[in-house]
Formats: sequence, C-alpha cells, structure tokens
Amino acid sequence: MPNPNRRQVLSTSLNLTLGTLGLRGVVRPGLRWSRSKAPSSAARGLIHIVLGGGLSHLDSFDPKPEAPLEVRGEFRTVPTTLAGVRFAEPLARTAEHAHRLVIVRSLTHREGAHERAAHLVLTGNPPLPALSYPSLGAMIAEGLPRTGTTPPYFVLGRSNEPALLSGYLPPTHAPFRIDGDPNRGDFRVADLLPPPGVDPARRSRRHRLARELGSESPADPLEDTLSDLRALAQALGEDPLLSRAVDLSQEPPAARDRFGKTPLGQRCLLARRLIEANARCVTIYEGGFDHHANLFRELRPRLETVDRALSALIQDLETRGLLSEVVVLVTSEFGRTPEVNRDAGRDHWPRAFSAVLAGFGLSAGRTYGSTDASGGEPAECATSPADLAATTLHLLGLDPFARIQSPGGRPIDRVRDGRVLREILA
Amino acid sequence: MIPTLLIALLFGSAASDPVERPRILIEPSVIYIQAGGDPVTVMVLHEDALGRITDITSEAEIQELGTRALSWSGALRLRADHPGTWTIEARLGVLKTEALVMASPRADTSPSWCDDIIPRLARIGCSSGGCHGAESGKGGFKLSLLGDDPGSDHLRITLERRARRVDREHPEESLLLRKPTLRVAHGGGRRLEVGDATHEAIVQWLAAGAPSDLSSATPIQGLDIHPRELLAGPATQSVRFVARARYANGAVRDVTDLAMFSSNDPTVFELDESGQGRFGRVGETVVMARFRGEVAVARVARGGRPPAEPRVFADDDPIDQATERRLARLGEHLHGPTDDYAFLRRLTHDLLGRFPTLEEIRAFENAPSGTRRDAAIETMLADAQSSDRFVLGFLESLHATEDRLGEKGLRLLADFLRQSLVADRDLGEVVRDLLVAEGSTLESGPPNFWKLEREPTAQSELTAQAFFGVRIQCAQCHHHPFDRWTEQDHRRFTAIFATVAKRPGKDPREEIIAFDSERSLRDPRSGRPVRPGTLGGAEPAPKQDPRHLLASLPSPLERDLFDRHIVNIVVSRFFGRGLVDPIDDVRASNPSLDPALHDELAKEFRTQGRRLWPLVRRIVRTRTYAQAQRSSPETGPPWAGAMRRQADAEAVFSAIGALTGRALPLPGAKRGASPVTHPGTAGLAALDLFGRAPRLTSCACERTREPLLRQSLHLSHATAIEERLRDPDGRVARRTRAEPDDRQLISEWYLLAFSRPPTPTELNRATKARADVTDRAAFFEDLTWVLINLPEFVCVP
Repeated sequence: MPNPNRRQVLSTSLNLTLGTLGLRGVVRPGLRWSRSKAPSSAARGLIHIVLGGGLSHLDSFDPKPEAPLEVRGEFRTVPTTLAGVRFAEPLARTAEHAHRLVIVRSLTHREGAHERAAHLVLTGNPPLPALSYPSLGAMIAEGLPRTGTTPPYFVLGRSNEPALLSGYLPPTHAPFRIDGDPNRGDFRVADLLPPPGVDPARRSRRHRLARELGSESPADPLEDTLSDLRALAQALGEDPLLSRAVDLSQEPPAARDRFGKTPLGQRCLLARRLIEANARCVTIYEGGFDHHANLFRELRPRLETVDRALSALIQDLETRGLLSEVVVLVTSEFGRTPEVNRDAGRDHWPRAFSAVLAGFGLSAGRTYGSTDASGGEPAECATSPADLAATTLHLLGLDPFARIQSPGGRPIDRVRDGRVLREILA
Repeated sequence: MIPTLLIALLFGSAASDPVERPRILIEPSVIYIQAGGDPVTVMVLHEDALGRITDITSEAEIQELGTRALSWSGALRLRADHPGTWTIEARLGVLKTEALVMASPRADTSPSWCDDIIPRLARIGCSSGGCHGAESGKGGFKLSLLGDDPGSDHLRITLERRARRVDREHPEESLLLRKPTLRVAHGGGRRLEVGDATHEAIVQWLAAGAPSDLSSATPIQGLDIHPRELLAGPATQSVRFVARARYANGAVRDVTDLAMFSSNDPTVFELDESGQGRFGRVGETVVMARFRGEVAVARVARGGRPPAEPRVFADDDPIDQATERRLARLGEHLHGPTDDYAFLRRLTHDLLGRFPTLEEIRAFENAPSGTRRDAAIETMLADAQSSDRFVLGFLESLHATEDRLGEKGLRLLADFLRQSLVADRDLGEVVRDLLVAEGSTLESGPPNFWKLEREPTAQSELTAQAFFGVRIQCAQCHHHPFDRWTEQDHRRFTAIFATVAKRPGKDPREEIIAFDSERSLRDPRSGRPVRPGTLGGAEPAPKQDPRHLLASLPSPLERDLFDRHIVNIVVSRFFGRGLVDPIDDVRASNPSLDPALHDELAKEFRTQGRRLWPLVRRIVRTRTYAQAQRSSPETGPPWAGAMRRQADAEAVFSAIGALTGRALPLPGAKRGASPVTHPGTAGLAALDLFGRAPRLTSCACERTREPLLRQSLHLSHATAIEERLRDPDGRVARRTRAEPDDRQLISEWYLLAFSRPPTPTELNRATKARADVTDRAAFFEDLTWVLINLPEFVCVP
C-alpha cells in the first residue's frame, strides 16, 4: 500500500525521500534526491549516439585498405593517432582522437532486420514477441538515484524506434524526448517553466489545493504514475536549471560552430549541456545509414557530419574535464556486407560491425577484437551486443546482471546474457 | 494452398466442450508409430475439476494391454517391435485412461531429404537467418531460410563447390559433417556431436547416395502440437510438447525430434529444443512448433490462483459467458459493474472520443436508473461523432494524411467513410468501394485509397494490414518463418495492385485511377508477368480486373480474416485489448485469446450483413464492458476487471477546451471541428504529445496512451491553458458572473473535469479553500488548473 503521506512528501520538497518513481506506489527507502556528485567509481552519465540504419563498418571504423576493391569500397583511409589503426577518410577528425577511444571491431549477432537488431543493440537483450526490454537509458534511469530536478534520460532527435523506450519498466523511466532541431533558430523546449503571470504565491496555492483535493484518489498504478509526474513537473518548474541547459544561445558561436551547424552537431552540444545539468543518459538518434545503393555518395556527407560532431564532443568533454566522468558510446544496429553490391551499396550484415566508446573507466587508445580480411566475421574476441550493454551499464555503476522488477512481479535480469568486457576497462 | 486446413491451423478452436473432470489423458490419444522406427513421445496429463492441466507422466502407471510388443525408453518414449494395434492404459489413483497405438510396417529405412535431413539442418541452426540461411549465405555456403527451398538446398549441398561437401563413399568424411562437428574449423562453432541422431541420419542419407526425394516425398498436410491448450497450476514445473505431422496419404508421424519449438514469452514458459518446457512467471503465452514450412501453436497459461467455478448467468451475452469461463479457470472472475458516472465517462470516451458535457450528464442523471445506461448508449450511437471516431481509426490504419492525399483528397476519403458508417453500410461493400475505385481523386473519396502508396508492393502490404490484419511484408524476401505466407503468395497478391494505372489529371493534385489490363507485375527472376492471386489463392479470369475478385472476398480464408479483423478492431477499442493483440499482426504464432468466441462473433457479424453498429451496441452492453476497475491492477488475465486507461489524445485536448470554456486551436480545421471530426494531422503538437498517431505507417502501435513527463509539463505550464482559464470570455469569467453559489460551481467543475460530482470531502475542502481566497474568479482559475492537473483528468475509468 502506498505511504499515505507519499504525495505530500513528493510535492513539498526535493530534499525528502522520493517514492520510487512509477514503481507502483511502493516506497523504496534508498532512493533519494541527491545533490552530491556521482561517486568516482562510476561514470556520472552516458552520451549514446545511435546511427540508425546500419553503419557500414568497412567504410568507417574498420576499413580494409588491403582488400580487393569490391570489399574495400571507394573511400580512402587515414592513419589515426594509434599505430596501425586506420579509419575511413571521412572520419579524419575523429582519427585525431583515436588515442581517447576504444574501437570495438568484433561485434556480431544474428538479427538481419532493422527493428530486431536495434532492439538487441539498444537494450542488450533479444527481441521477443511478448516482452519488450527497456533501453540502456531507461535501465540507467531506473537504476541510478536522481540528481536534482533534471529527468535522467533524454532522447534527442525524432525516432519511432521502440527500443529507445522504457520497455517493461514503468513509463516514468521513459525518455524525455526533444524532437526539435537545435540547429534551428526557433529551437526551444516547450513548457519547462510555468507560464508568465503566475507568481510563486499563486503557484504554491495551486499546488496546495491540488494536494488537498488529490488525496482521495484510489490507489492505482496509472494515477500513481501521473501523480509522480506532476510532482516532477512541479519540481522542474521551480528550477531553471534544465531550461538554461536547453538554451544553446548561451554557448559562444565559435563553440557551436565546432560541433558543426547540423542537427547532429548541435544535439551533441545539447547532450553535453544536459549531462552538465545532471542528466544520466542522453541518447542521440541520427538515422539515414541504411545504404543499399549509392553508399559512397550518400554516406560521405553523413559521415563527415558524424566526424565533426563526434570529434568536437570528445574534445569539448576533454577540455572541460568531463571526459573522465562521462561515457560516450557510438553504435549502429549492424554492419554492412563485405562485398559492394550492383547498386554501389552494401546490404545488412549483422555478423560483424563496430562500436566506439570513450570516457570514464576505459583503457583508452586501443581497438578491441578484429574482423577477418574482408570484414565479414569476427576474427578475434567476438563480442555480442549483450557484452557491450553489460559493459556500458557496468561503467555507469549498475550491476548488468542484477534482477529488476518486470510486469507480473517476476524479476528479470537487466541483461540476459553477456559479460563485462574487462579487457577494455582501465 | 489448402484453405480450410489453414484456417484450422490459424485459428483452431478452444476445448470448451463439457467433459467430466478430474480426468487423466494420454497425449496423443492415438499414437502412430513405425515398427522398428524412431520412438515417439507420449505423455500423461492430469486435468483437475476446473480444467487445469498438469504433466504427470512420471507419476502415472502406464501399461500395455495385451501382448508385449512395445518397449519404453525413458519414461516417455515408446517403440514398437512389429506392426500391429495395441491399447495402452495409464492410471493415477482411481483415474484411468486409454490410448490406441498403431504401428505400421517400417516403409523406408533411408532418411528422407525433405522429411529428415532438411528439418534437422534447420533444427541445429544451419539454415537460420544468422547463418547459412542469411540472404547471402555464410562462408560461401548458402541455404534457404529454415529450409523453405529444399530443391535449391539439395543442389547446393550435393553439387556446389565441385561437390566437395558430400562424400558418398566415406559419408563421415563429408565436409557437411566435418564442419559442424568441428573436425575442421567452422565459423558457426560446434553444432553436432559424432554419433548423435542427427549425425547418424545424415550419415545414412549420404551412404544412400544423398538422394533428393523432392518429387516423391509425400506432401505434408499439416502439423499438430499436443497438448494444444495447457493450463498449469502454480505447482506445475515443466511440460513436454509433442509435434505430429499429417501427410496427404493419411500417414501421421511423430516429429517431436525434428520440429523446432519456440515460446513467445520465455519468461512465462521457456522451451528447450526437445519440446521440454519450464514454467516461469504467472501469465499466458503461445508455444509454436515448426516443421517443413508448417506451423502449429499451443496456448499455455500459468495461473496464479486456485481455479474457481464460473459465475455464469442465463441472460449474459455469450461474450460474458465465454470470458467468465476463461477467467474462472485462472481463478479470476468478471468484476461487478462500475458505477453510473464511470460508465458514462468510459462510454462517451470510447464512442465519441471525448468526455460527456454537463447537459449529457444531467440527462443521464434524470433518466430512470434501470434504463439510463441503455438510453445513453442509444443516444450516443445516434450521434454522428461515433462514426467520426471510427473514421479516425480507419484513417490511422490507412496512414491517410494531407501529405499523401492533399487536403481535399483526405477530406473526400474521410467523408466517404463517415457517410458509409452513418448509413451503417455493409463494411465488406465499403472496402469493396475502396478496392475497385476508379476515377479522379478530387471528385470522390474512394480513388484516394489508391493514392496512399505509389508502389504496388506497398499498396498491397497496406491493404493486407488494414483490412485483414496481416503483415505480409516479411514474405517479400523469404518465406515467413513463423507464418504461412510464401514469397509467391506475396508476389501474386501484389500483382493485383500492379494492374492499376494512375494518370495525372488536369489539376496538378489530381490523379485518375483506372484498371489497365496491360499492366502487370514482372517476376524479378524470370521477368515474366506474375499471375494475380488473392491471399486465399483465388485467380481472376484473363482480362478481368483482379481487384473485383479481391473485393468479393472469394475464399473462406479471406472472409474469415476480414470478419475476424473487423470484429477484433471493435473489441479492442472497447475492451482495451483485442482478441488478437496487436490487432494488425494476425499470424499463426499470435492466436486469438478465445478462438471460439472470436469465430462466433465473426460469424454473427457476417450473417448480420457486416454492419458495424449492431456489433458495437452488443459489445458496449456486455457485463465485460461495464466492469468495475480490477482489484489488483498489476497482473491478471485480459478482461478481468476494467483497467484504468489514459484517455485518447483527442479527448484530453477537447477536455481542456470544455473545462476552460475556450477550445484549443485546431490549425487547418473547419470551424466548429473537434480533433475527432478533423481528418488532418498537421501542426498539432499538443495532440501529438498525448499520443495521437502521426500516421507515418499503418501500424496500430503508433497511437499511444502512456503518461509522460512532457504531458504533465504541458498541463501544468502551457501558456495556451493559462490564457484560456483566465480568458474574459472563458468559463471561469462567465460562470462566476452568472452563478453566485460556490458549491454549485464547484460541483459543475467536477462534473466537467471528471464526469462525476465531487465527493462530500472534496466539496467541503474546495469550499473551504474558496472561503480562504478573496478573489472568487482567481479561485476558480486555480480550481480549473488543479482539476486539469489531477490524474483523473486524463483517465478513463
């Protein structure tokens, strides 16, 4: 049964115990608002860049310059700051930061369809017909204590990808979505602050009346969730932190330019500002990497956008001393076929693909795993999406294999299989 | 194809016939076996007084009656030494049962390519989508996905790479065996142990010359899974499933060791590859067996409570009786009726897409208590907006937007649908009008159906999903591994849509739709025209417009799919979950919650002329629809008590307008339009925020009803709401001027916001709060804000 004072507690002060958001009205004593920084044994946040559609590993982070033309494709390669490691030439800026990265080249799975593969990579769990798993961000939102009023999990960029949502977890752990394009002059996030003309006295009068009139509702999970969300909305409304964080005009123009005046670039900048404002996970969705035809013409400008944004993000985090506190993760749902097809494209290829990590707790400046000569299969250290998810959760200070509550009350492992990739940890 | 059989496979029928319980059963009850051949799996089940089934094979005493020609290996595996017919008996305490064993002479000792080898390669994973079954194969070796093309697979194995995959002289040295046993490096790892049954079968097949029996193998007619329905109590740990193939020549074979088993929800029931499964959490799921392209499903439920006697009343609708019977087996019941106010709010929301007005609530209160619900139902069914709400659903399933059709086209299509529903036309004929439409997209609604997609493939997939609830997309590239649609079904269905010409009209926005007998779909491989065919396999006469054939729902398969789909749309709207869920993903592995009830409703719908409103009327008058909220909201089977739901985006949007007295703006809409009557999708961020479908795809999943922080922020902070509650012409200003009695006004506010009067406590608290404030209008502005921000405002009880 819910604590009778729960709503009151929720809406009166941020410094008191918060009922477990959405965990069906059960007060869990350990979950508190905390203004302290995350302990140094774990990262304070994750910036997850999702390149949707299936980035060609062969034309980005795992090029095969020695392979025949039909495998190596049209892009030249460039050396990186790591001996013997080359990237495709559109990633030249990122190559300058390779010593700050871990490049995982041996990811592999068996799902050849976008939606199923994306579920696997974004949740670390297999796609099942009757159970949807929560995304990494939702697991982080559920597992870590909240810091301040800022929602823990954001998704930037319009996407209908269901694997970015809260799955079997309650919708209080769903992402705070910012669909708008921060590269536009009219970009804003609506409704963060109370409307003009409602002074603080009036606001507190309303909240008091809401508490008095609201306490009679029966215990119901939907109503509990809605009450929790109202309390969060109230807390956000009294704290300008988030509305300042989403105001990119506070960044000097030169800083904005460094990320590239593109939606992705400005989203990376926004992600950094959100992490500074205590967000735990900011996932950036950038689609358009499904190149079945005209790959080289279509991929180059997209990859250059990624290159500019990613290199600026790494440099920016480094300059601010944040790179040692935050994990940056770049993934795609699968790679693409070793052989270029008749339409100058490559098709879906889940047997081998790459991901990139940077930041807290990593043994930076290395590759992990490799693929065979044509990039078709892992040659060493075959790595599953579950391994990558487990490692990411571990870096955030969460036990990847702990059991959390599912619908019907049965505990489910955060990640069903997989292991933490100790080899890439510092 | 064989339509009747497929229907049986797709839809099955529930075992709801009266039997004497408790009892024990031997599954299968007739055991077909080959003398001297592979053992078959037998199990003994116990069914208690309330229909719960437990596997008691290890506890029951099993014996053969008569001569001893049978032998058991392990507890469950039966072999026969020579041909004949026997009876076996199982006993548990006083209960006993018998089964017939029929052993036929062993016909052919060498394993069959189609019947033995192909399924085994699939089962050990060789032909899975992630391995050699991938589009481009693996490691230079390609097999068809899960063996759906045995002819090509045979060629590749026996001839490709200079036939070095097979060694008929020294079968065990064949690459086909050395790879998966890891005697040479294999990217897919170890798949096979030397000496196990699959290894032996492949050796024997190779030794026999690696023959293909593609032309001589007995065609398979169907696959059965036993038990077909399993209800486990809390104590049941594990159950084994048996798969049996039925052949065209009447033969039946136990293929448990050859079929592939899987569970839709391993957290409820997890299977290993032998068909042995273990129970997990309380819930329901589906177990599927697959063999030679055939699929069979079993429903598995694990109850969390002791079963109960069903409480069925004579005047219940059969929907209520079926639901109560289903629930009682799981220890649940239909809940009692909800209160009148909650019923009115629920009904108005579900039928009209908004909440009741003050006038509607007053009329409801003034009606005689015994008949007020029926009266409200009739009033609302007579309201044209009930048609608009259904039109909205159809526009979503067709992903009809201004972008695709233009504003005028969208309006014409919506008007056509609305007029059809208002007139309660036969829905089969309404869909026919769309399918066979000809003429200008600017002159009438139906031709716009043909503008929804440009490519015949996309148009055919849209049609299958919107009108039959079937997703045939997967069959575009490969035989659907978990369903019956083949690539050929997909191509022939698409060929129907390729016969339509879309010519530009005078107006740049216009297209003229016409049948063109010269147009056809070309087979991508042969380049020859594909002969059109419906999902049920019907073919048009030469030069006939195949759309007319499709629109006539020529086969029982199409009729069943269509009728069951429409029924399911309606059931899902009012009960919160369809019989098939999601509503637009009908497949063998996603069976109906209650197949017998589903069939019955579909049959009645058809015999009553496929009219929407009699079906809607019947459903909203059931006890199931009128239930109170469920007592334990967390778990429980579908339809046990009402679930409190978040309201549709349109209803929340309208409710803000109704309570503040100033409707929110609806860009691009006609004057006086509501979000339910306006067919457009453009520029309505607030509606999108509350889960309106953006209609990017035709998926029913696009509409969401989940609470989100951004919604709460909107209700709490939006300038548009604050402006409205302070508006000098708004409700606060008008009513505080006209009505001096605070308690009267507070009651009115509650009725409008929550569709119920305030409780005495709420009334007293609000009145007291009113007394503390000098500015009366300011108090009612605050009260408006408060009610908008209380959870109940966005809830459907």
